[in-house]
Amino acid sequence: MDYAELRREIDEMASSFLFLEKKEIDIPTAGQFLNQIETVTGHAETLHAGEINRLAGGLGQLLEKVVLDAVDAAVGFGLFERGIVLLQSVADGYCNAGRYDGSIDGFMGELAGAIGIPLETQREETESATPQAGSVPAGTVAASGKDRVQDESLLKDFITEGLEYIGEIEVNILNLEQEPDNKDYINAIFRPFHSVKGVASFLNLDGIRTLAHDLETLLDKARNEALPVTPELIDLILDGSDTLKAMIGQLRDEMEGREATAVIDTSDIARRIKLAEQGADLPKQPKKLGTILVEEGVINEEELEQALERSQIPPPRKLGQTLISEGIASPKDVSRALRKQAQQVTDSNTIRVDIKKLDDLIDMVGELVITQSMIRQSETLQSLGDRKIVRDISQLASITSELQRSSTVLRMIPIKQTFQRMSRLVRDLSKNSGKLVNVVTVGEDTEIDRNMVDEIYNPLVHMIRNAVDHGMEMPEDRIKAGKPERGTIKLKAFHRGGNIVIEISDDGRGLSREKIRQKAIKNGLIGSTDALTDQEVNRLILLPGFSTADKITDISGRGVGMDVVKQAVEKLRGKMDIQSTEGKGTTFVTGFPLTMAIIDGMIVKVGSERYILPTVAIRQLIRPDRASYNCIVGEAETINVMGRLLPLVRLHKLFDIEPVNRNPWEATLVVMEGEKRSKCLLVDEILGKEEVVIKNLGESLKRIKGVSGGAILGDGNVGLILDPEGLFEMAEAN
Amino acid sequence: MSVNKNLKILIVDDFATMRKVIRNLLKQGGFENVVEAEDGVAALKVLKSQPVDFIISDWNMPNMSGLELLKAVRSDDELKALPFLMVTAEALKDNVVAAVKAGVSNYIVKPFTAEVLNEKIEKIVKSLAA
Repeated sequence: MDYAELRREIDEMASSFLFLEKKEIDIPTAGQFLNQIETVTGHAETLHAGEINRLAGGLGQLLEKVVLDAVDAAVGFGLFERGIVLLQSVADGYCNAGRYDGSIDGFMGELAGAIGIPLETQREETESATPQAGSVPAGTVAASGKDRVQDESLLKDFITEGLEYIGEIEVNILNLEQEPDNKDYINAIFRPFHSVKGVASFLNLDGIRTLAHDLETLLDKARNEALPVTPELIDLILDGSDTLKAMIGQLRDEMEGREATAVIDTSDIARRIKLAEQGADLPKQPKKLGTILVEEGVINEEELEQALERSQIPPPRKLGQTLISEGIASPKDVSRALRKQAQQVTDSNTIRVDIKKLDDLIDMVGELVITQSMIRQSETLQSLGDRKIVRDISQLASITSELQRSSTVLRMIPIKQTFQRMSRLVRDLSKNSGKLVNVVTVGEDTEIDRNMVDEIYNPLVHMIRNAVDHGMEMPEDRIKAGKPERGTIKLKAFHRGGNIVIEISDDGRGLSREKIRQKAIKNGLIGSTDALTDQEVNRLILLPGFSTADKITDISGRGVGMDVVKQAVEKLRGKMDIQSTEGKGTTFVTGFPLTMAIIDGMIVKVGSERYILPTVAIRQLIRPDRASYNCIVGEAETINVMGRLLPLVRLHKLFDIEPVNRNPWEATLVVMEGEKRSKCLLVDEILGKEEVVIKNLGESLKRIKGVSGGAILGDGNVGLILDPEGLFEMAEAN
Repeated sequence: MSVNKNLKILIVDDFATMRKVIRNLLKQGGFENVVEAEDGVAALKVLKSQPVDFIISDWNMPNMSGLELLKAVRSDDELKALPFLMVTAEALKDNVVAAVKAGVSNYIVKPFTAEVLNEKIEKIVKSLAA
């Protein structure tokens, strides 16, 4: 490439301009010139022909503006004509002398004036072509139907197809949640919004168009990596698509002549989208007015529900209006609650903290609690008999335990997000299987340790899959059974003791007692004459290798049964139970500790060593009769515990310690439950119960069998936390 | 000279309602000889199976976008001269310029009226006839 060639290219452009039939640049012509200019600027750059590069580039931008109707065609034509002539003489200069002696600045100034400065950065969004003149308040659906396109069949098509398209969004969001970097998923979510927006603009559905446009813009930013795909963003998109769906649903109601409910207010979602676009941390969905009033004790749940129902009766009113006019709440209460609600939205008094920092903090507080208790138990200090020191120490104790309480709370988050994911899952699953299922959630605000959230997710997913796949009937079967066509799955969470209880209940077919029995007999899990209570029968499905579904679907039948779920739950030191009535439904009840950082332990002593046994695994503490001890030569030692023969595990043997007592009738036995079996653990003494902070043993000691961690006890000594399952395996290996 | 209203027009859009909207607008302008395709891939199939005089295509579609369809049409010896009107949601500079460089005949921004659509078609057809 040399100047001569560059000049030939420019001449070619000039001659094609000369041969233009009409004195105008239409779009295909502009396309040709733009491609030629691109070649010229590329070459000018490699040849360092600065003026040619600048001039040709400027002409390219001029053409772009002409194409976009941002510059008058005639003005553009005149400028382009002069520009090409100038370009030829600049090229001549470079060709003959390797430089251009004149100046292009005058022309460039004129060009810039015509295009509008700045030249490069402008991103023109011409929406001026929009024909509608009247502006509808942003964010609300234009409820009056008169300026809508008369063609009702189009509107009908839009409603059906639009709802279908938005339904696809939910499925793809689930995928995106799993692979936030996958552009295909973002595109698949982007497109429905885009299509809905396009048609809505023709049908003059301004509220829908605006919201779809906002969501589309948001996704565009995510696609261009201007915004990270965070769970908050995903929630926002879901909320947005829900609102969009509600708006289209309302349109359908109107079409079908039903009275419109309340006008859907999109100002909140619009504001959240705006905030998200600016990259601000997404505020949580503000609490509903009713929730605040209930929390404040102004009204109770029942009153709220009734008032909400009455607010829906046309003419629809806001909840606050209903409450005031019916004298249920005073205007003062309502306005105070409204203020509180507004505060939440503007509340920016939160900061994001790396979870690792919180973990460290909570760890250190745990250490502090222990050190504090060591000081308190110090005999030297106690013997001083100084009342001031005693008082100060007890003050220290109360501050430390308060500190521990408030630091544990730091890591607590509401279970809401998990429930939302579950709800989506139910919808997704029921759609695939052709079942109709509603999801009801109760106790979304129940809090749980952030570290537990991920842990409980998989077991919960499995139970949900089970409920939809095995529990729910097909709509026609439900009607036959005299139930509503649409089934309900209820997710409920609440605190009980130090645990969070999560219940997943369905109103499906329930567990079939007879089917389970037959299957269990067939698989040799029970004898054909065993008499079992309903509860015992239900629990059979938690045994390994049990599945009552007639066929394996891609949903639940993945080779794992409820036994795996039970194990996963127990691994988290949780408990699981099933309640079921045939024909009425099934409830899975799971209880998890609120945190994995603290364990409720029983301190036992063997010889001079102390160990901690997790209380959840302990069934009984006994000192047996001599007669209940059996030892057959060559067989394992057993203890008769209320008619059951349980193997005896000697802790001192496993850990090679010299015990005080070797005879079970002189020692203490701890009946422990592991996976599928129970055993008696022989220890010398029970020292007491204590809540201990779990400490990792570090990489090198991680794989020691029978030990799951360590803890510093109240007196400052270290105790090992034992793992029942590991102990059992050790005993079985001997 | 007025444009031949019997022109066979191919509408390409993944959203069926949108195709219907365009079909209705075309009808108001007197164009009733219309075929439809739901994306670029389907459009190419139609183009290969029957003679078409004019393409109106959406920009954003799954499988094969409007721009990809345009490029495929322009690089096909039999189809390359076909008038191609691109429908876009906004006149985003990058999109429009990309389409113009790829040889689009004209573009139209949603939402548009039957008159504007008519004008665009006439302009394209007339410039070809000239």
